[in-house]
Amino acid sequence: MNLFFIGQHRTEQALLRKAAAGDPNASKEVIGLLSLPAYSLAYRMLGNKEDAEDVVQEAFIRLWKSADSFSGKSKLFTYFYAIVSNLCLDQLKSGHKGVFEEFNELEHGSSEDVLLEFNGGITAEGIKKAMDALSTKQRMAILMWAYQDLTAEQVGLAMGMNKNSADQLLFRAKLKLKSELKKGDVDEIQ
Amino acid sequence: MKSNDRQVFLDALEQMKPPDPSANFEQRLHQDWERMVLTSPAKSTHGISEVLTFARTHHKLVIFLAMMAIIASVLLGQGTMGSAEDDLRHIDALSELSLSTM
Repeated sequence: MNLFFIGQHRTEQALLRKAAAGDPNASKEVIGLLSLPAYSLAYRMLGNKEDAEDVVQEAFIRLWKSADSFSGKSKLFTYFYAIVSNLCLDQLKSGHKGVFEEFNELEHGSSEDVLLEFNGGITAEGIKKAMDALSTKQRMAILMWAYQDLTAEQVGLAMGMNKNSADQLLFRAKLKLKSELKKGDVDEIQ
Repeated sequence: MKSNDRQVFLDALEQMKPPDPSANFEQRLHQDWERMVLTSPAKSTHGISEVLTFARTHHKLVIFLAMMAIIASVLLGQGTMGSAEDDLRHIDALSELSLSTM
């Protein structure tokens, strides 16, 4: 890992520890740094403003409690996104009983075979429509993959499924996204 | 290629702006922090907590100060022992002198 990033992660670790130890300036900085991106992630996962705010609030409480566990080996964003994603997952599981239990293998392939490449610009409306067309599971998996830089195995672990199932889920999510964008004539994807 | 794929998707998602959070959203987060960190019953409010906070946030400096304190006490101890030996020598010399005068 680059020395610059190691230094940056250590700075974030020191900042978080200061905040958790009672430094008000550090806490302001951490909240300012993480709250809006985390809210955006939670909103994209849950699709509801109030739920997204509640999840971020709970995630911050967990962050203060677990400040000592943050080793500084990854970005603070990545660490916090994992907390937010897990809380979103819990929320979706409790609200949509059964959604995470069923799994039908309709297509066979690896998620790495599908590349999301856009030839031209893409509109906010187009991507929103395409994301709304995904199932809850698919949306969750693809957002975790994108925001947290997780592998199919790690996504599967977080969602309580094996690597192959998670890979299939990501594969189908990407295919669906591509076809929805094509269908809406929003963009051309190779 | 794989990470580029991910970045392309993230860039596309950036266009999908969520609605602004409530006006008091950040304030609620600060209140939670105050409740959790400042007024937590596990935390004492007297001076020792400030020392502990300092120790947690500046652990390298604390280790350095502790090392210095240990070295200083060792040196001080050696000095004290040395001066005690000198005193004993003086007493011996005086007693020999007094014996010889007798």
